[in-house]
Parts: sequence; C-alpha cells; structure tokens
Amino acid sequence: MKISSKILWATLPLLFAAFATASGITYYLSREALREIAEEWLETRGQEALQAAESQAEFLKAYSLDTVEASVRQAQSDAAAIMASIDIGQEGFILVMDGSGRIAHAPDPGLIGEEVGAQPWFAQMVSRESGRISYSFGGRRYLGSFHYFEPWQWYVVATDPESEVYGAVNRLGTYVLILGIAGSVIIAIVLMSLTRRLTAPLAELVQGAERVGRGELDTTIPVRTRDEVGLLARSFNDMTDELRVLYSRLEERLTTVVSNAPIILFALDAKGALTLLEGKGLDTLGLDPQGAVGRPLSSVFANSPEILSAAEAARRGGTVSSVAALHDQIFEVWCAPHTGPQGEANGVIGVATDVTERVLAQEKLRRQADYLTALNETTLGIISRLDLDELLQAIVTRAGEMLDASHGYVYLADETEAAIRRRIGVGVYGETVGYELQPGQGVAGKVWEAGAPVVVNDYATWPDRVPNPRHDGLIRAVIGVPLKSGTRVTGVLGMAYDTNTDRNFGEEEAAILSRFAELASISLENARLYASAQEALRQAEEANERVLEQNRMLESLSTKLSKYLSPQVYSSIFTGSQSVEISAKRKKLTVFFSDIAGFTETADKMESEDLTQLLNHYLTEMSRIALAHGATIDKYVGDAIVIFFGDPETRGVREDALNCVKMAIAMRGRMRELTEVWRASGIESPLRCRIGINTGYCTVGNFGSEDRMDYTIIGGGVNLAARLETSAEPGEILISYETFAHVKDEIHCEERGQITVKGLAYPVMTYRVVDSYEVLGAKARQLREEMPNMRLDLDAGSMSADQRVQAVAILKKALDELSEK
Amino acid sequence: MRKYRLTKRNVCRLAGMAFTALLAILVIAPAAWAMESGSQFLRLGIDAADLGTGDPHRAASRNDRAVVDMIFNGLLRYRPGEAPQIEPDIATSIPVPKIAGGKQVWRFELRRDVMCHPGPQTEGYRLTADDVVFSLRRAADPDVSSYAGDYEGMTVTKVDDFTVDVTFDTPLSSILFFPKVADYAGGFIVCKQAVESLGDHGFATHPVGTGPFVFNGRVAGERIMLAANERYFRERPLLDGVEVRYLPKFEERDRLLRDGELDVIFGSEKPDWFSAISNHGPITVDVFGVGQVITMHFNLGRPPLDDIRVRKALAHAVDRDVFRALFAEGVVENVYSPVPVEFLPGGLSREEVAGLRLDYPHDPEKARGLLAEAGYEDGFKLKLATSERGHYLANYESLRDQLAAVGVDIELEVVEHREMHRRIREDENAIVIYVAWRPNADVFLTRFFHSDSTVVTGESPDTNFSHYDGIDRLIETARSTRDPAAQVRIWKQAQVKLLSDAAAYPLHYVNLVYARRKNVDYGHPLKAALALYPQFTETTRFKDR
Repeated sequence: MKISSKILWATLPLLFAAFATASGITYYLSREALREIAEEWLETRGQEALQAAESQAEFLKAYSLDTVEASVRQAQSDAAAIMASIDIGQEGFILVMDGSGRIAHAPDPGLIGEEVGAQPWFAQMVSRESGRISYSFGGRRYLGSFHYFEPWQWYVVATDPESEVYGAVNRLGTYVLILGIAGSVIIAIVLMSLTRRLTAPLAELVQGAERVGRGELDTTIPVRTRDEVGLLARSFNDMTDELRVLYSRLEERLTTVVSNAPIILFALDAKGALTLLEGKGLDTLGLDPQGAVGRPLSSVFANSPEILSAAEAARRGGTVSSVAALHDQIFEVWCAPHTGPQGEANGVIGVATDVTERVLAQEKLRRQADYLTALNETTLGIISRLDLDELLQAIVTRAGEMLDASHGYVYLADETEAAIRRRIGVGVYGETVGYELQPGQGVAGKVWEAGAPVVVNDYATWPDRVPNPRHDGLIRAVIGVPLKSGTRVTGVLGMAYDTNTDRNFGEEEAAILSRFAELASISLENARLYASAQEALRQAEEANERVLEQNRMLESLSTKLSKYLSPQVYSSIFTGSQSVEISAKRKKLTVFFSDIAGFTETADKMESEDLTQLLNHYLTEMSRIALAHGATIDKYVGDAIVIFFGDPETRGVREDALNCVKMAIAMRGRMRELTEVWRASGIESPLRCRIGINTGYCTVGNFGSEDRMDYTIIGGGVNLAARLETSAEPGEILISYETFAHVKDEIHCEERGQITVKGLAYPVMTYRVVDSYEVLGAKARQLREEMPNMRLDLDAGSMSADQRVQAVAILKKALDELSEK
Repeated sequence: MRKYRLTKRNVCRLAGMAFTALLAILVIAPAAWAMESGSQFLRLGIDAADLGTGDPHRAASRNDRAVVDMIFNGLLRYRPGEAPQIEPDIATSIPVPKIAGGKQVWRFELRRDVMCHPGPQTEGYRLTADDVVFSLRRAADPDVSSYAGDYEGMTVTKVDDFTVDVTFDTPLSSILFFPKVADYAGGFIVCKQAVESLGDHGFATHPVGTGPFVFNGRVAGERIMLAANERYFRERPLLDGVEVRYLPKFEERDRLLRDGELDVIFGSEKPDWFSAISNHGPITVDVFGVGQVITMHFNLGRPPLDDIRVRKALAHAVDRDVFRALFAEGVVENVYSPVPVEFLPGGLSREEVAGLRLDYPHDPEKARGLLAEAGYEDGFKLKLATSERGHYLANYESLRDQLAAVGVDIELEVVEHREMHRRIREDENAIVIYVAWRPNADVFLTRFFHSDSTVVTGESPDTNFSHYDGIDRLIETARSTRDPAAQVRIWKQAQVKLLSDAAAYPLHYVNLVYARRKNVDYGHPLKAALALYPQFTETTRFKDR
C-alpha cells in the first residue's frame, strides 16, 4: 500500500471520529449553556413581569385604589400590558394564570380564559410558588420561570418554546456535522495530494539509491521541487558526484600505492586460487605476476610457509598478521577473509609489505641507543669527579666499559706541551704510566698531532707503532681520540682490544669515543679549574688573615685613642662622617658647666692616689650619665666638666636643652648616692656639684694647629654657662632664661634673680632647677632633709608595711634621743 | 448681530425685493382683492364678527387661533392636519431632556433660515435665540399672556444665537412639555423687535411672525388680508395669500360658498345642511378633529347627587347614542372618558371602559332601581341653566327628555351663552354639560377634576363643576411623571377612579366641520388640527389654477 493511501486510511477515520466527538461535545455543551442562559434570562424576564404586577399593586395601595374594583382591573390590565411588552425572543411570552388555573393574560387573546388548572405543571407551580419549569402546552415543549403574585393570586410565567431556545444549537448541530464531513473529506484529499507530491520524488530517490548501490555512480535524480525533498535530491546528486570523484581518486591512489609501495597485494577466491597479484614488492622478489592469476597461492609463495598459513587462517575466517622471510627480504603479512554481501566468506585478501629496511634500521637504532645509554651513564659517573687522577682513572675505566675494551690509557700534555705523558693506564698499559711520547709518535702521538681520532685495527702490522715488548703481539686494535680544552689538544684517550677478541674499532666506535672524550675533556677542564680555584682560595685566606691582623692592631690603637675623645667626636671621625680638619660652624647648643664645690680644699687633704681614684670615679660616673643622655663631653678640667648638646648630633634645640637639664638632675641625684660611697671611703664632707646650663649660639668645631686640634666650643653662650655655674650654690642647678624657656613645660624651676655677665650688655634672668614634674609627682611622699649632724631621707611611698613599722621604731628612738638632751 | 453689508449682490437683492413689493402692491393685490378667477388667493369665511386679537399669546377663540396659526410658528409644530403628531418647526430637531444641576433641561437648536416678517416699524430680520427667549418669557408673563399658568417653573436661557435652553425645576414628560413649545397658544414664537416697536397692543392689531403668511391689512369687522411670505423658511407658499372674511351668519357663508365668492367656510353640524351640501357638485365637507369634548358633570356637592347611587342612576338613565343622533352623521362621536382617546394620550377607549364596566350602559330599569335604593323611587326635580347655543341647548334638552323617563324632572332655563358660563361657575347647576378642548390630559383633568379647580370653593376656581376631589394626588403624580407610558397609565387610573365614582359622564366630542370648494387642496391630510381650522400652509393650493 502506498504511503498516501496509508495516510488516508489512517487519518480519515481519526478525522471523522474527532469531528464527530467535537460536534457532539459542542452540541451538548452549547445546549447546556443555552439552557442555563435561557433559564437565567427567563428568570430575569419573570422578575420583570412580577415587578410590573408589584408596581401596579403598590400603586393601587399608594392611592388607596386597591378597594376599587375597576381600578384593580385597570391596574391588572396595565400590568399585563407591561408584561406583554417584555420581549422574550421571537416566540416567548409572559403568561398569567389566576389561582384557579385560568389564563388571565396572554399575548394570544385566544388563550385567555383557557383552563390549565388540571395540568400537572400547574400543580407543580402551585406547590412551589416560584421556580423553573419545563412543560408541554399545546403540543409544544416550553421552558419557563414562574412566580406567584399573592395579592392578585397570579401565577406569572415567563416562558419560551424549547424549539427557540435550542433552535440555534439544533441548527448548529447540523452545520457542525456537515462541516465535519466536508472538512474530513477536504483534509483527506489535501493530505493525499500532499503525500503524493511528497512520495513521487522520494520514489525517484529510492530508485536512484538502488542504482548507486549497484555501482552506477553516474546516476542523477531530477530535482523538481525546492522543498526538503528537492534538497534531498540535490544532496543525493551531490553525494553521487562526490562518490564518483572519491571512487576514481581512490582507484588512482590505490594504483599508485600498489605500483610504488613495496607491497604485494593478492586476493584468493573461495577455492584458494589467485584472483589478484600486484605490487612493487613482486619486483623486489623478481616474481612475475603474469600467469599467476588462477593458480594457487603456493605456486607463488611456495618457500614462505608464513604467507601460506596466514592465507589459510584467513580463509577460515580469521584476520591474521605475521612476518615472513622471503628470499632476503622481510615481509609483514596481513590476511583477512573477504566476505560477500550476505556475509558469506568468498575469499581472502592479503597484503605483504616489504619491511626489510625498516627492520634493519630499527636494529641499528637499538644499538645506538645502547651506546647512548652507556655514554650517558658513563658521563654522569665521571663528571662529578674533581680529583684529576681519580678522574683519569674513571675516564679510562668507563671508556673501557663502554667499548668493552680491557686496555686503555690517557696521555696528557706536559707543561711545555712538547711531549705527552701517559698519566694513567689499564690493562697492558697500566705498567707503563709515565711513558712519554713525542708528537706523531705512535697512535697517541698521531692523535695529539692531528687532533683527530685515529683507528688502527691491525696494530700488529701497523708500521707506525712504537715497539714495545709488552704490547707486541698482544694488542690487536687501537683507537685514540683527542682530549681538548677549547681547540687545544690537551691529551689523548686511547682504547685497545687484545688478540683474545676479534673485535675491531669502526666509525661508530670512533664517534662514540670521541663524544665521550669531549665530555671527559670538560670534566678534566673542570678538575683543572677546581684545582686552580682551590689555590686562589688558599692565597686569599692568607691575605685576609694578614688584613685581620692589621685591623686588630688598629682597633686596639683606636680604642685607646677614644678614651681621650668624646664618643661622638670619636665616632664621627672614625665612621668618616666628619673629617679631621680645621673647621668650625655656628650652631645653637646647650652648654653645661659643672665643678665640685670646695674640691681644692678636699684635694689638699688627700693623697694623690686617692684623689686620682676619687676624681676618676666621679668623672666616670658623670660621663656615664652624660653619655646616657646623648651629651657631647667637651673636656674635663680638673674637677670641672664641660658638656654640650647639639653637635655633632642634635635632636632639636628644645630636646637638647631638655636632655641637658635632665642629665644635670640625674648627675645631682647620683652625687647624693655617691656621697654615701665616698663617706664610706673616708671622705668626710660630701662632694656637691654646682651646675650652670645655658642654651645659645656657639661656634663649634676643630680648633687648634695642624698637628694638635681640639674639638670644642667657643662663644658668649659658653661664657654664660660658665658664669651660671660659678653663680650656682653647691647642689644647685642654675639655668638661663633661654634654657628655661625650652624646658619649663617639663621641669619645675624657680626664679633665682638676675645676674650680670661680662660681655653681655644686659642682665640675665636665672632659674633654679627643682626637679622634673614627672619625678615631683612621685616624690609627693618623700621626705628629704639634711643639716649638720643630721640627714633624713624618707620615701614612704615606696615602703612596705614591715619597713614602715621598722621606720616608725627608728624615728621614735631618734625622737627619744633628741628629747633627752 | 450680522451687519447688512451693501455689496453688489445685496444691492441686486434689495432691488429685486423692492420690485417684488412694488409688483405686489400695483398688480397682485388689486387683482386679489378683486377675486379674479385664476388668482392664488384663498378666501375663508368664518363664524366670527371680527378678529379678536392677532397676538398669539392672547388668541383663545377658535377664529383667532386660525389666523395666528398662519402667521406664526412654534419651536415644534403639530403636523398640519395630523395632530397630535409632533415635528420640528423652528427647532432643528425634537429635543431629548437632560438633567443638569437637578433640573430638567431641554435644549433647542434653532434653524438659521427663519426670517421675521417685515412689520410696520421693522424690517424683516433673521430670527435668533433672542426672539425665542423673549417669546417664551412673554408667554409666561401673566400681564401679556393668557397662557402664563402653563409656563410656571420654566426658565428660558439663551446659550448662543441659535441655541436655547428651556429648564424646569420639576421635570416634565414630553407629553406635557411639547405642547408648551409647539405652535399652539403660548408656544407661538413672536418677533421681539416687532413686539418692542409696536407695543403689545399694536402687535395685537398687526401681528408679526415667521409663518407662511404675512399680515397684510385689515378691514375692521369685515376681513383681514394675509400675503404669502416670500422668504418662508420651508418654501414660498403656493398660494399668493389668504383672505379671512368675518361672516357670523352661517347662511351668508353658505351662500357665498355656493356662489363661489368664498373657497372655504366654517360649516354647520346640522344634519339637513350637512346632507344637502354634501350633494352639492363643486362643494365638499370635511369633518376633522380635534373635537371639543362634551361632558356631563355631576355636582357631588348638590343633593341628591351627593349619593353615588343617584349619579350612577343618572348615568344609566341616559344613552350616548341618543345625544349623538342630534347631530349630523360623523360630526359627533361618542367618548367614554373625559380625555378623548382619539386625540390625546391618556384617554380610555370604549373597550377599556366597557371591560371595566364603567361605560354605564343605557339601562332605565337599573337607573330606577338605583334611585329607589337611594330613596328616590319617585324621582326628583332639578333646575338647570343652559346656553342658547346649539351644543348646549340640544344636549340639555335631550338630557331633560331622557331623565324624564326615570322620573327625574328637569327644568331648563335658557340664558345667554355668557350668562350660562357665569352661572355655572357660581355653582348653580347640579348637572353641567360643558363643551371644551384642552391641550392635554393633565389640563383636562386638572381643570375639571382637581379640587383646586372647584368652582367657587377651590383654591383657584376653574371648571371643576363636580366638586370632585378623588384624584388630586393621581393628577399631581402624573404631572410629575417623566415616563410618558407611566404617565398615561396614571391618567387612565385617575379616570377609572372618577368614572367609578360617577363624577362625570363623557358624552361625545364634536368634530370641526368645514366646507370647501373641491378645487381647494389643503396640501396635507386632514384628521385633526389643534388650530381648529383646516390649516393653510405653504403647500395649500388650488388644484385648477
């Protein structure tokens, strides 16, 4: 059956069924919908009618006419007239019946007065008073909506024949049926013609495909349409064209391959007779394909059982690959069964590829790889050796291993390069280490001279050999290769086979050994460089040692020297930040002068040794404090100390001044502590400092002669500081206004009055330093008094409870003592 | 207002008009007045001694109404010869009311081609909203209008030159509203400039309107002359003019008609003349509405008529057909409700009344029974005043004769027509037979049956001769009902009630009877005319001229 007929028979009943179902559903739903609409609509109309009656009745009541018989009748007739004007479709109407079932009003005057009281539907109305009703009247079916109007005992029915209600849907049913049948037929016809149009070109395509299947590649299908089928036909044509081209190209390539590649292509029929025998491989074998076709395979490859067995295996259905030797050639044979269109075995196809060259090349490659592996291992073995003798030994050993030679040597040129000396030897050469050769002498000499490998495989008869009774008759073949440093030949590596073997050295061995020698040369060079580097290192260490010795000397020298210099001056000179030359600069500095009050008197009483110790102790303590505060100690003059802040390093004028004053406070404090120490060592009266501090411009720098220079300060500011110091009471720190201005925020000072200074035109305001505010805060609970024969130093804030109990006991005792007199 | 510019075209038009006027004066007029054969002047003979007034807002008599009908228009008009059908006249369309600000507004768009006639003091000019507003306000002014009462609660405003709004505080139905602005009574539109220039009195003697015919002169007590309005907005009348001759004597009119001196005359209901003239070759008789309704009013305030049984007895005692037989065939038709269903919405038909058993069929036995029931088995006596005029006298006499059969003795006193009117308004008659036309059901019912209209005792005494007060609320409700159908229902119920109460017994209506020469073609059907004559319009013509 054709596709078009199939489609027709498949779709037509479906279409009929679909249309019939759709029609049925449409009819049913429409009828139901119409019924609902009609009932609603009749209900609305019924309400309207009822309202007409109600409004009339209300009217009568409102005008007290409900007792006037004529008025009531008129109102009823008005209500009926209003009802008559209510449109209910074409055939519907309002029917009014009185309580007894007599028709009181109807559009058809003939109906008025008719009795319907006996009708079952009227009984239904009477029982329900209002609702929907479906009834038969005058031979017709009606739908109705009724209401009972009590004041007039009217049953008001809005009614419409069912024929009108369902008229549309009944007509619709017929239309739908006709449309359905017509639609089905039309669709079927359209489908058929469409499928015909579709299938005709498809049939052509099928025929075309069959022709192509039979190998008629020149088949062309006419393209009739532009649709998908047309495209298919065009594609089919393109495909056959492509196939044609491909086929001819394949044929061509196959011919080229078969006639040029070293293969033999053969095919056997089911009986094992040759149907094809071609290929350049036949030429190699000197076989003539002519006349072979039709004969069994064994007639051609009688002496190659591998081919015959492969063909046999393929005939039994297996695909076989094997290697066959044929005459001097090696063939890779591949045989596969040839199957017919139904999958039945109907012969064998075989290809024998000449792989002789490939096999030989592979063999050679394998050998080279072996050598390279050995070379690599060897090289890695020697390259890390740095000791020359050890290295040479390794080179010879490895080379021997590599070439499987048991005899070998290394010659190295001597310093003059006039001769080469055997530095190492193995085998027969082991006994003649130190043997010397001239250029061109023996194999090694020739290598050294020429800088190229030399191979002698018949050493016994070689005319240039150096006679040596130890070797003669024992060495069969010798090879020598140069060892080079850059282009310069620095030695020779030689290997030898003895007569116990029949091996000779060939180009391959020469190349391998040369390459090995190149690597060995690098190792030798490394060893040599390593040796010279070791030497250089040793020499450098010696020189360094000497320098260090000198440095140590200098260091001790400068340490001694530093004691005579201010650390700042020392460091700035020794670090090179300030050169030692006569120069000065003007800077704002804070200058400190101090001396010990009554020192001369004290000194007079003391022995020189003790005095030196006391003074040095004093100055050391003060200097430590000064350096801790970053001061530049200018000089010591006896018990006097001159210190300044602001050069060579400065933290800013204010900070310098503050540090200076804090230093002075620290010194004063330290002096109190030292008094104890000194008292213990016999110095009765305590040493007390007078300190003056001023901040002002000074000239600072190196002053003096070329041979002897002092780093010091000069100027009015210095003089004022000195003047302040002399004005100070023992234990007092006196500062100028300038300094006061810088420190007053942190240091508690008391005004001390003005002094006059020589060289200054105006008197200078002076201040007595009490202490820093920081310390004063902590000293709140300290009590410190001193008078002849009494000293009190109490720091209650720092005391523990026990200490306090103890202190109280002491002070009570003191009080008792004082009160006794 | 548009200035009249003296362009070349206008000069030509002016010249043409002047020439036409000259021609009319020199040639046509004398010819017309000479009544030569072939002229297009129509001659009407009517039963009055003279023109009463030409002012439409005053014109109340049948004869004056006929004259103003030819000279004036309304915003709407009753279709000529086909009343009460309404169509636009000066207005371009029949309006639909809108409610604005709680008031009912009727908006009229005016035609722009309506020209006022030239008057003694004024040129012809284009009628605008100003004239309409002036006219309607004038109709509502009791000092100058006989119909002012109909326009209470009405406001007229000009919207633009050709748009007028008529507003009512209390909405009206179209049945009640349209007569107020139709070509009837106060609805006639007068030309403001003419009224203002002439004064109300002058205007009454020389009416200036917009209608098909222009007032063209008057011979007191003899005739008035009307000429065709050359610029009538519908079209120039086919007639060249109309001559109205005042001939109160029927015989003279009859003679002149027969002699061909007149073309149309007001006829007579007398059967013998009627049959005689109907057979006269060149003359024919037209009987048409609207007919005046003749109703018998029973005075409820006057014993023994205060007893409903007595009133019902009287109703059953008389027979409409007997009354009808007094007049020529076709001239008089029975009516069964006070509002004539033939001419006005709101009336009850014979079938309706019979269905309600309110037609009181002639039944002397029943009448006697009812009287006996009421205690008047021997009847009673009544003295009634009647006019000497035909409709009154004939009917009263017939009533007397018919009631005599049930023992009711009536003594008639024939008095002058005017005297009768005076006496019945002084509540002298226990039974009043009254001939009247009213423009709508409301006016009929209000004036005859609303308690306010009760003679002597009413708030505004009018013609409620029955002293009836049973339908006041119904009348008022109907008046303010805007839905015409509902309104009609209420009017009918009102009449059902008053008929149930036997307050009145409608006898018949009297058609108008006009005779014409057969060559006169009115140009329209002739069923009913509120103008109370056959109506001469632009289409009226002589068939043979």
